[in-house]
Amino acid sequence: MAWNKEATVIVFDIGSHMAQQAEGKMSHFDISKQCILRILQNKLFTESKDEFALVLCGAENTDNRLNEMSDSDYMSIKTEAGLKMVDWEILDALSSIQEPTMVKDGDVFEALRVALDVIEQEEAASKKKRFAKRRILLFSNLRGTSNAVRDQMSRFVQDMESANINMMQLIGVDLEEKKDEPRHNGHDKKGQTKKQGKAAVETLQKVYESLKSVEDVESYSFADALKYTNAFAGRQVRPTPWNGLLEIGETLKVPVVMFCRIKEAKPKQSWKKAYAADPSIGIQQSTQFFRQVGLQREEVAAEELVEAYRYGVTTVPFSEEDKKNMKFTNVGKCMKALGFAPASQVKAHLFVGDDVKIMTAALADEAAATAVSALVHALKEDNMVIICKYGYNRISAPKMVALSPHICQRAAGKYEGFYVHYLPFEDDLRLYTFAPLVNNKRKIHLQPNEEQLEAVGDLIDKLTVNEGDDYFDALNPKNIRNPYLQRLYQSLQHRALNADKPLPPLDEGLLTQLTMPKELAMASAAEVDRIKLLFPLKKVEKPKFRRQHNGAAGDQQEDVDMATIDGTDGGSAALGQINNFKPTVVTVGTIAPVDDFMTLIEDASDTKFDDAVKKAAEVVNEIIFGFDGSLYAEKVLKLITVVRRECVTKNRTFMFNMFLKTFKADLQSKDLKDVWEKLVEEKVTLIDSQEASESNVSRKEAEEFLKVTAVKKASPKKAAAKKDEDDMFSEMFA
Amino acid sequence: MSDETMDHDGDTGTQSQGGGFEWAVPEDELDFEDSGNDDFGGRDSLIYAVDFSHKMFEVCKPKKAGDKPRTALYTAVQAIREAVISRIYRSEQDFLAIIFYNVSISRGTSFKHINVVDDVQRPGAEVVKKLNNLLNMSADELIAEFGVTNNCSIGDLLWACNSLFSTISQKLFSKRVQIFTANDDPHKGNRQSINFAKQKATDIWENGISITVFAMDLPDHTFDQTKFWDLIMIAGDDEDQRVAQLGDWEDLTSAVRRKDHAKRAMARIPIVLGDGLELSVSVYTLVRTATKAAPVKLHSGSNETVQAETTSMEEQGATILMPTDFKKYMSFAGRNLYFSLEEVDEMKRFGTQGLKVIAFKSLDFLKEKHHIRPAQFIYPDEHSVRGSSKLFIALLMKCLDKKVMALCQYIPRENIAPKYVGLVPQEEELSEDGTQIVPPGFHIVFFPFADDFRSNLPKPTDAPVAETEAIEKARELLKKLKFSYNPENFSNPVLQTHLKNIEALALQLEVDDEGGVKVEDFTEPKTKAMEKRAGKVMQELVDLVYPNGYDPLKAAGPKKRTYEPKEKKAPVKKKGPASGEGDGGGDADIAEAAENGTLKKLTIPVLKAYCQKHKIKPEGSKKDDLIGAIETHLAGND
Repeated sequence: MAWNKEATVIVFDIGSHMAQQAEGKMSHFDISKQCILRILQNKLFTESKDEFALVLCGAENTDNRLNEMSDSDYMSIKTEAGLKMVDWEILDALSSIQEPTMVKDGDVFEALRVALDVIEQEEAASKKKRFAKRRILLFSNLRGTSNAVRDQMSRFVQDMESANINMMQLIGVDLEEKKDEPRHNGHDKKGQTKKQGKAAVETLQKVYESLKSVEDVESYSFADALKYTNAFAGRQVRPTPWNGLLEIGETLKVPVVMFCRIKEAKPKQSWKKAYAADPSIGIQQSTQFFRQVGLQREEVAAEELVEAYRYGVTTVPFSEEDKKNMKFTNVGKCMKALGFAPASQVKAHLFVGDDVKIMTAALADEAAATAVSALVHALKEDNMVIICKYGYNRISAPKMVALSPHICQRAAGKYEGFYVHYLPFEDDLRLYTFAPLVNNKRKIHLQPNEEQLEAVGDLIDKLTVNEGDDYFDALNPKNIRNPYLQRLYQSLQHRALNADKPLPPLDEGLLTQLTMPKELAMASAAEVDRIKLLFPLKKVEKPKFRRQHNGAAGDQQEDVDMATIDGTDGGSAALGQINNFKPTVVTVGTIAPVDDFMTLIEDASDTKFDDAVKKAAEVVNEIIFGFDGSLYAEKVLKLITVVRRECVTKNRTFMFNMFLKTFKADLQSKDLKDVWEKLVEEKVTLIDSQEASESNVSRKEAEEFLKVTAVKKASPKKAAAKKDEDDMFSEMFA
Repeated sequence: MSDETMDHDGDTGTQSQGGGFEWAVPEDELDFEDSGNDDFGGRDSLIYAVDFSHKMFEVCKPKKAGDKPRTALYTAVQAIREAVISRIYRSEQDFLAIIFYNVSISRGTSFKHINVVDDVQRPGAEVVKKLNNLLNMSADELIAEFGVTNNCSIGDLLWACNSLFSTISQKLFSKRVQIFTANDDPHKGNRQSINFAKQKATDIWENGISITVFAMDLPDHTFDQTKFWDLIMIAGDDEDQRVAQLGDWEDLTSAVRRKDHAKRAMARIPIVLGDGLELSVSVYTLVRTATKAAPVKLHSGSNETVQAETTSMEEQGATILMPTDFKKYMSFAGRNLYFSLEEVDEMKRFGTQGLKVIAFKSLDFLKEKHHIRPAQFIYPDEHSVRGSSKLFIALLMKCLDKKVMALCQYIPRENIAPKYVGLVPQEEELSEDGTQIVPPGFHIVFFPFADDFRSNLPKPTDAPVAETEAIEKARELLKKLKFSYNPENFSNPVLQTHLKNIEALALQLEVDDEGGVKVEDFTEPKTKAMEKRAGKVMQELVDLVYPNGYDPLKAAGPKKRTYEPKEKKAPVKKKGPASGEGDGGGDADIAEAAENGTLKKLTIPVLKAYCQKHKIKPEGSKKDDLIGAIETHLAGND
């Protein structure tokens, strides 16, 4: 019983013409070598059973079986490694080929024949079909010598077919592309190589067209080669399908088969521990159990241990017998429908599984296929899914799954079936409720305006890629390799080749596909800037000193919250009744008022924010009017500036504007001119409506505010107005 | 006042169908909740405050005719019991307290008319027993025990809650009070009391305590929250503050359970939209497979929990090795490749945490197969970048509008390798009664990488396609057997059985003769009803799609079980553990391991023994060969 081993012969053209540079900096040789290394590494590190052989074309010495038989043919072709599972030898051999040879006459068609021979010989030797799939990968720019003539080609095609080659891939020249190119190459000055290359291309195109029985015949340009390494690495085919019956009621039963389609590929091995000082010495692990007896720790023997489950803080000993009695009696292997539900109720974010399965009618069962087809089409038309109970086998726990219709249409034909997704149980749900975001009346200040929406819309448009655009294919998950696995494989490879050297730093290239393409970033730069202008966004630096407040008293957040208590608690009578309740009070102090203020507004709700502004205002008054104001003008000014900035960010301006008006009046009445002049100098004025939409102060008004400097004596009318404001200010905090 | 007895109606042990479990032990690297990050640690704490006034002894409206009428008090205590049990299953670390107010005999506190029935503590069997006792007491007994009054000051109640919270010395992540009352106007226009209550409500809100009121409708009276309780509900960032209008206890129980989940963000991370343009979001898990909590080990003599200590020693000397004494390695084709612990750690580090936008794509390209792990959910966060909400909302509105998703590189934490994800916009969805079904925000959908696509099976074939007639018949069947899917209707029978049994042991409840509590399995199809509704249509469909004499059981191969799990004499079964003859526990373990993909963790001798027993011939003697052979065997393919 062989489970689907693949045989792959890699034909690597290392002739002098491979030194040619591709569009980037790498030569065709380098790209090919890197691709091959990746393929082989991937196979080695995933412990694949697939076997690989390496045939070099354009080698300095000749070494192949066909040459031994024919003498003069098959020159400069070397079977570097015969078919075997990837080992270090083949990787080391590949690594040791540093650059293209000076050899010019390696013939890629002869090399292909050698490759064919390698597979045929291998299978002939073991007297049975050893491989599920046979593949030949040719890495060449086809610019080398080619002496192939037409009749040889047709024989080659026949041989390929009789050897049951399943896949033939050319990496180096996109034959489809070449076909469409106008035939102006004849005028090319490079002459011979070009012409020869052209001949080879045309021949290979013919071969490709003739290869009828070979399943996959593909060609890639070097430009695409690294991107699609995965496509020609070949995947380990190890299907473990689930065969069963889809049961709907008792009447409708359909034989089905289920395959895993998507499942996270993890490193094949997990890390093992070794003694660093001498890895050859083994490690023994032992577990001991202890219990506390008074102040002593006493070891408990294994036979004195019983298992228990927790019921809250209560531990409940559970005997083996209990376990047996209380086990859920399973219902067996099944795929039974509970009914049909609208697809809209089975939301993708509910899927709890870590894989995606595909279910179709049992293989080669036409009746089952018809039944599945009827269901699939009906579900598609009515936009519904089947909800099923699924039991993997006799003793496994029942799961809930959704079967949604899936029609797969490919060039080679189509199949109809279902995607199978695991659904959650009630136990798996977290029924969180979140405040509405769009049109939330309570959070009207959070609603973006038309201009803001438009700006975001423009950015999205600039960054949206559609079918046919550049990057569209590159963003398909199928074409993005897991950067971690790649890095792991690179690191393993690095360590294998240079045991003592430190690992190289992160290869940024691994993240290229997961990073916004430069062109998109450039194209959207203007939109990004516009959003930055329209949306006030401010990073909150985590204050470092907050930790001090906590001690054992728990939540940091709470401490800050508690800070506001003294400001809001009017009925201190109740406070007296409270036992154990002594909050750490943080307020805006006179020593580091700016820091204090920033702490207070961290995470603050609107009320708390207003409260902090009020506290800051109090401190300003305290400092300016309590001490000699002019001495502390700088400090106060700084605080006012910070408070002002935060108010603009928060779009809560009323409090600040009110404060500033009062402050101005107070300064003038107390004749603290120098402080006022500082404000004027720094242009600290009212927050106008252009800065923060909440403000009802116009820009002009704000400018005027600073100009009025010499109100010696407030007129009675103004004094009244001022008083009103004062009252309002104090009322607001009453 | 009703003379109704709060008797135990025998279903106490099995009422709860939901809740109940511990969320999976974080084996997955993305399950990094409570990771010790200061912002996210801490415990949930909750006080259930039950009104004990005369009104609570009136009988609640039964929702369905024929339901046993219950006093409001019974209903409330019942709902609390369910919530406490579900909490016991889920998060034994949290703190709960139960208080009665409007009692005439004050106990456990210096506040008048308040009785601390159960002081703040982590819940266990004792609380549940206490609640069961309360449910068993008659109204008269309860009154004798606690005394009834209508004079409790709500201000005092709130302040008492505040002081209860302050006795908890552990770090708290949330502090909540849930009030159960049938009285919509406790202070009847007494300005002083009302103002005092208002004042206290503001104070405790400022202290980070949120309040939910569960309003119990009485037959002759509909609860009017505007009379008093609206004043206590202070609008804030948290939607928890609201009055839930309720009638019968099932309503109440499900509402309490819904409110029971304290929202807990897993992380706060930035979304980077462009150079220097970032906003901040909180990441939540809305769904995650719940599993049985791991058992603890006790010393059999004393029933004390024991501590396990694992030590490593080098084989020859008897030196105890410290973590720094290790290297890690993998071994390929005979070569061991060693790395320092730092190097292994470093390999997973690819940059700073966050969601970095790569591009946007139409939602049409969100494929059903692009799923590799349960989604996460993001909601704006003002803590890290102020102003995030507005930009987030604009982004959400525009993505919904344009039907696009953002493709991102996602690094949830700095030591987790990047994932490829889509941010899929989600509009808020409400049920008919206004309950939120899906919150507004973005789902983080995890895309597979190229490495994760399995082989292109099944192969496209030219299998027959159903005729229109058959499709129409199938559509008829769909209509007959259509139901409204809600995951809340399906509890996990395995988990529930486990939990109910532990509960029975913990509370020393009577169990049935077989020694175990049985729970209803809601995952089992109602086959009889289905046959009755649609048997005819199904038969017609069968006649349309299957040729005469086609037997799906036979076609499905010899391994199929028939519908009845007990039917041991299924005609054609012969091999494979799926048909299971006399499989011992070992076989069960192996099958389960195969399903979970953890065969790798079993030892070679175990695998070999299994192969021998089942006459499986692996290709080689390596572990992989054995695993491959067993998997193929279990799938019924050999």
